[in-house]
Amino acid sequence: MKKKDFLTDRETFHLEVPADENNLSEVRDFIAAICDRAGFSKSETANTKLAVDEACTNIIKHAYRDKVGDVRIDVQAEPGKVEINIFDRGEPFDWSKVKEPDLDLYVEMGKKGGLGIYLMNRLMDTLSYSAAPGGNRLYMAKSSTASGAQRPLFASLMRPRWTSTLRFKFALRATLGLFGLIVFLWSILFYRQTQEVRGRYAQAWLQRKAVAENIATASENALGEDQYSVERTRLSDTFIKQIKKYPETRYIRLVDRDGIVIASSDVDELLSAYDIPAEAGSLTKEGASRTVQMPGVGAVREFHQPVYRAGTERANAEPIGRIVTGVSIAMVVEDLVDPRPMMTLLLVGVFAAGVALIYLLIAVFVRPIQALTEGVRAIGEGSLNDEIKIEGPKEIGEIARAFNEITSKFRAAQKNVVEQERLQKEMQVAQEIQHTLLPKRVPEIGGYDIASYYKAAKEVGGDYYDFVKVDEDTLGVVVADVSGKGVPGSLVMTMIRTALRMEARGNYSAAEVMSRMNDFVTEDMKKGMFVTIFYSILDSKNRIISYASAGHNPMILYRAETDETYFLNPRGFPVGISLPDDTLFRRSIDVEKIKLKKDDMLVIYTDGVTEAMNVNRDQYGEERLIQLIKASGKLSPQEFIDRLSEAIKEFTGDMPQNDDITVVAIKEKLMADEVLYGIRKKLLDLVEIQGMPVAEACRMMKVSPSTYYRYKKRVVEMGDRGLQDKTLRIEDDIKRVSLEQRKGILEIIKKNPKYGAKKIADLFNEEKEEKERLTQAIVYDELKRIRLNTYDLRLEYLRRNKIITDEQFKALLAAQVRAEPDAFKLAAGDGIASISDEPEIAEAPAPRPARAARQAKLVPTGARDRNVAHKTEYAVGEGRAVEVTSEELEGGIVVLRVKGHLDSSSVGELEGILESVYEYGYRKIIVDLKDVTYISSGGWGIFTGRVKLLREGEGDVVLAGMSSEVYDIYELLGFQEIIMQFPDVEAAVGYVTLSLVEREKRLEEVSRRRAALKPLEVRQASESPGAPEILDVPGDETPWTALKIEAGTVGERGEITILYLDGVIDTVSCVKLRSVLDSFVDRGIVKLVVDMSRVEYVSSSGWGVFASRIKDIRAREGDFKIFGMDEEVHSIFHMLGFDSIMRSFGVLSEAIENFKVPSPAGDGYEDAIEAEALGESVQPIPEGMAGAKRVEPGLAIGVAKATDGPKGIIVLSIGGAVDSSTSDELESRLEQCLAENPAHLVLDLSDMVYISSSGWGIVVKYMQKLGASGGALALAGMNSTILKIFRDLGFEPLIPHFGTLERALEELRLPKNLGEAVRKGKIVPAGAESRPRKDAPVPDAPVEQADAGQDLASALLGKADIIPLEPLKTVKEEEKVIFIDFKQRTDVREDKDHRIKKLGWEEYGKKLSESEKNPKRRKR
Amino acid sequence: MKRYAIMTMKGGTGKTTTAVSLAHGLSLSGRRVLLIDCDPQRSVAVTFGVESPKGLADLLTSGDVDILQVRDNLFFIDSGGRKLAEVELKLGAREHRERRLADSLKHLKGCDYVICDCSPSLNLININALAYCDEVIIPVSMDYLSRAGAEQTASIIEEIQTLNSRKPISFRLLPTFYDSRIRLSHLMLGDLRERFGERIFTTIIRMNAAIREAPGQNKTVFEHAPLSRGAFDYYHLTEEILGLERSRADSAEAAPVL
Repeated sequence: MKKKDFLTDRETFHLEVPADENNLSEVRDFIAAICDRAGFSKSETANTKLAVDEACTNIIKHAYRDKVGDVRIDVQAEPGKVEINIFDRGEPFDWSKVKEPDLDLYVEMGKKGGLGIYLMNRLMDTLSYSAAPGGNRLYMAKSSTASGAQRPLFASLMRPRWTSTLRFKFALRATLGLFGLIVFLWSILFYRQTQEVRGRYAQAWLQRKAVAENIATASENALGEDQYSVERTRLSDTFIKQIKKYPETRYIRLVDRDGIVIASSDVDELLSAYDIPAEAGSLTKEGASRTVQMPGVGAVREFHQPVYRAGTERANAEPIGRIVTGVSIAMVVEDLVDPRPMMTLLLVGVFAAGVALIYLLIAVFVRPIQALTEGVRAIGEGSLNDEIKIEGPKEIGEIARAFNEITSKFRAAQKNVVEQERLQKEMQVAQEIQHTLLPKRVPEIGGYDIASYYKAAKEVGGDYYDFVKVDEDTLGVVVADVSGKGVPGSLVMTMIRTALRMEARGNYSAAEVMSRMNDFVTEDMKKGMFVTIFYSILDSKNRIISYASAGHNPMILYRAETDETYFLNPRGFPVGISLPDDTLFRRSIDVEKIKLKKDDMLVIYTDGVTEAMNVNRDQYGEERLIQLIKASGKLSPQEFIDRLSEAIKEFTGDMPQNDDITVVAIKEKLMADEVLYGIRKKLLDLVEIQGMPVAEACRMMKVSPSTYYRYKKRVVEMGDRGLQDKTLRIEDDIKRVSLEQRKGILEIIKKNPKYGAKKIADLFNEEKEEKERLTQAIVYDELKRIRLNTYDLRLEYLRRNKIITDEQFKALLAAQVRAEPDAFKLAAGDGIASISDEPEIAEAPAPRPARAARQAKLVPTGARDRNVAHKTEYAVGEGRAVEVTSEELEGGIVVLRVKGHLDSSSVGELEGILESVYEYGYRKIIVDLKDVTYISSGGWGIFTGRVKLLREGEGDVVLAGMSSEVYDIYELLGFQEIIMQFPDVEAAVGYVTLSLVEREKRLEEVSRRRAALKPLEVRQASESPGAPEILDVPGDETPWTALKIEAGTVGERGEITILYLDGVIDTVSCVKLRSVLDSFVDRGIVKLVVDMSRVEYVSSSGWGVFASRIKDIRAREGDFKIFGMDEEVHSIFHMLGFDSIMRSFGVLSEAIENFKVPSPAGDGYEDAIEAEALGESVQPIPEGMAGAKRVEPGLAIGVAKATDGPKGIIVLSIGGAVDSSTSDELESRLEQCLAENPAHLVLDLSDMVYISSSGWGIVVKYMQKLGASGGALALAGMNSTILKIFRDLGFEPLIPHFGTLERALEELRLPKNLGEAVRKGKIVPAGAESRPRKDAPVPDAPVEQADAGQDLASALLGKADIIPLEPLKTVKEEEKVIFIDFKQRTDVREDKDHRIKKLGWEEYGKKLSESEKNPKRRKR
Repeated sequence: MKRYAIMTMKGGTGKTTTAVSLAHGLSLSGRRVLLIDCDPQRSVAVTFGVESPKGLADLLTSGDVDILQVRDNLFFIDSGGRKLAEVELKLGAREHRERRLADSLKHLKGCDYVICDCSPSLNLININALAYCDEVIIPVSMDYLSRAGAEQTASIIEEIQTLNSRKPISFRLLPTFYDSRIRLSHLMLGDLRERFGERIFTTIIRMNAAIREAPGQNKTVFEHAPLSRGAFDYYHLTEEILGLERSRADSAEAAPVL
């Protein structure tokens, strides 16, 4: 980063340019430079630049309108903030006109520009505009979000000023501290030493004084003596000695009272007069002292010590003389060494050393931090691949480790983000496609006001709505919901759209359109997916709306007149379910018709509306929708839709929605009467005034001539009024109960479950006005509709709504059956009385499922006596939307207890579990939905997708304990005829233990009852005599389903977990795989076997997942084995060199075996039956390969001979994959078997994962070979996939095949059976029907003379050898097949010696032996 | 079709001689033989005095090859000399690099025997040869180093066997340079028999001057000295191999099938 001169203070910049667009770049550069200096980030700079640019453009374009003028820009900048004033003298601008633009509109219309002010507003922090006569001023300001220069992550660490470094701060503080400490120490020491020095000084003087005193005492005698006494002389000597002893003593003299020097250290002084100084004149006992300057010596302290006459009392005596001692101060002081400077120096030294040490220590401490910083900076700069080296002290290491962890997590997260972005992009594309499919606008259709609303969920949704012109005056409105989401959903949607557009045109029957659509799409739809459609046809001429529903949410009718709402939901199956009976869909779909009155509104919606969830997972619900419709029913559709969308938004808040929201509202704009009046009027006009022929006029107006005549008559009778007479209108009042009325009815039922339709009607009509009253027939109709038409249904309803407890319910039910049949009859009888053509369902009520089931429980449990060893528990992590626990009951029944929301996010969970339950062989599945609060349409799909498969295996899937909400949807979708439901598990168990036939009967009954429950007016459409059989909803795996992962543990070797993968492992699905693997590792499940047999494709990221986890897994003493890879996958596995990292196997058993300690090779398989498991045991050693120990991965062949039978049967257990790499082995093995000359050969394929077409070729070849020698080759234990290919290839009539090896052996051991089989054409003698295969064409029918009794085997063998020569001609250039053509060789070299040739090989051999015996004869 | 590789890790034990002599012997006995020189030294080519522009090197890289007919029923693919050494580098990066030879000759038909003369090293070309052939003949001269080389080769083959998913490879040892006058020859032979037992050819190739002389005249031993001891030994080797084949074909019962 180059160093910028950042602003340090507020600065002002100016720029004035002519108002010309060419100058804009200058302006931009100017602004950019300032922003840069102000420390703005790149984007902030760009934004500011853009805003100023916008402003200037506006000024140039709009204010000056391309006239000449100037633009002045004043910028005041300081670090992190820029204020810009732009002045111009152009036209002022009316700021008040500015309003927030509608971005959606812009986007839609593709309008460019005009967003300037909006943009400025968004880009700048503040924006103001003032217009004055002198010019206009636009003020904008922008602050950088991060004050100071906006820098990348960890910026403060990257470019610290030195003063703010840790090192500096540490050092400064430590130094200051140390300094303080030293100063403190110094002052104490200094004070103390000063004291001490002072003391010592005083002491020194005292000492001197004492000396002087001593001398004085000693001098007493001398003074008294004669002038020249010895005493005096000696005294002087003593003085001199004294001076020598104490060199600081400069002089000592004895002065008598008169000031004569009696004795002195200086002999010259003797007897000289001494001038007694004034200050020391009078001497006290203590003596005196003064300081005199002595030349050459400096300051001298002079002690004057009195000398007394010897023996006198000192107290009063006068001194007779004095001793004057002069001590050089300097010398005394010199003696007293002052420690203070030394101490100070020392402390300064200590301080210096301390500072140095501090710096050193800090450097040591800071270095790892710096290293850390470097590392973090590197991360900040974006290189996520660097790891910070972990060294230094423990704490720092910890931090580094933490950082590394963060980085690695960040890296992983980043990877994820990238992947997700990709995924999102794909989703976006899908979404875009979907959006283009939705109608751009609502078409005009005379007299109807239509508005629509669509909001996509976060994923690509499955909702679809469209308007189709049926003809000029008729409009089809379709609203559909595809049960799947994402790309498959939108593909189905596209299909539906095409189908609809194809079928809708000119077709006025909604039911017909739907049926045709169903026929059109069902084949192509993924099993388990379906579409619910609501299709209504608006006829603008006749003002009739007809509609049909394919399991869709009802259309809501709001009747303004009475302020009531109605659910309009005609019967119909969802589109796309392959029903057993082709006509069932057509038969079951109903059409209803309605006319709208003034202010009436129709609302068609998808479940996205009612199932819109807020944060608490509350659903928006029908209740709220209806309330809203009621509240805003009188608004225009667009206004209503706006309100609805707002309400939903408000309700959901920020919660992302799982489902698309689609609403279409339709309102009558013109009154039907007016339209009709207009039409009739025009018709009469045309005929009577313009004289158009009646037929032509009618054709033109699209009415029948009879209409004309009818109205003509009326006009004649009543005049113009006759045309609008309402009494002529078709009575189209809704013959059903409105929601409000239904509520009333339900209330009554809750209180009086015993009441039938009549009593309810009576009760309801009390206190009601004439208009609101209900007839008994309508009430009964409604009761049927809501399935409350019998007493026990009503009881059931009460129980569901928790009004009565289960016990009460049972008791009441029992009581009713036992002793109160009358009450029951009464309830139902009411209905019969009023509706005569109703079948007698009340008379012979089908036993309620619950009751029936309980009775059925007495039936002995199913003949199937499965002893399922394992009970599997699926622990689903907490906190997920759905939780599933499974429980196994006797008789192979498994109960899945589901808890939570089954929405698109959690359906996969349950689906996977269902699948694995199926894989484990359970066929009778009861899904307990007691705790399920919500099932999305996708959730229903997984049940329907499984029913057929299960029923084929005598099994079933049954739902139990649905809540009323869930039940409503179940009913709405019309699933009663497909899947049975029961109030509780117990009842469901009773049901599934019944035989299939009985169950079918039961289902039939339900469906018949449902058929009978259809609304009256359309009954004729579905008087179905034939009962529906099991519904054909086979489960199917399409190749495009993403990865499915299931797991199971291996029986008693519980510690090994098998992971079944199904689908493709690509960048998208590997995320799932990874998380599954991780969760396993976290849970300590580390012995993993991965089944790849159903994986079609593994992308590099998929391999990456395996590779990345294997280390972790091995670290935990686990391992990771892969088996069943197909050829392509294995080749990539091999190419990537993964076979050096992990082991792959052909079959599961091998993989599991590999986990165990390698056991010694087991042998001894005398009997064929035992040979079943040979796939995993060691093969016998053929000649010449004694060293071979292990079966190669990929193909496992075990061989066993059956001992009985004439020549014996050889069983070959072939496991793994037969592909081009293993087919040779298979062939050679078969060849070896054939060499044994067996009677029959059985290939046990139960462990076979895959067999390529060349593999099949080999099988057929040996089938023919064996057939030639009278034997047979049979296949056993093919799995369904292989069996399918076997059949597809048309081998079924050629090669006998059996379900199990035992069966095969049984059949083959009995020659009679075999003969029969042959006769039946099951086993065909070789060649008779051999089909030349595409990839290995047999040129000239190879075995025409198969029955000629020749040595066919060898003939075949010969042919087989020739065969490969044939394709050579057709082989493409690049294959480069080598073969030797003996005739075409031209480069033949002659043999050097023809002797051997002439002799012949054998002869030559003899000759050689001779010569060997007779060495002498050996010659050249 | 039977495929043999003549291979050992020790040089100078008579690989090329064996390959050439055996190939010629087999062709003289009326079998169609393809001899592939897998040694960049081109010893075989020199023996026959031929040279071809497209040899094994080209076969492995581009799949294009010249097959020379050098004698009646005897066909030869040249090694390509130095090119072959470079091939190894080129192959390094390819898929199925160890199966190039096998793949290239997958459709080779009309030939009774294929014999690959390998170089005395473990390189990719030799591994290719191993992957292609079903049996390896390891010539062992009667000395310690040679025996070590043979053991090494045997263990390599066993190793490769576990890697190779195609089919088993068996090997047999061929004692060469046997000199009855030298005690070591007796010792070594006994030793080898003890160590490898059944896996030693009954034929022993004895020390013989004729064998060494033959290549000088672009002749095989059968041509150079048809009645020499060398010719005798190689005749018996040929016969032994043919005999093995016959016994395999004739008496399937006798062979421990499966």
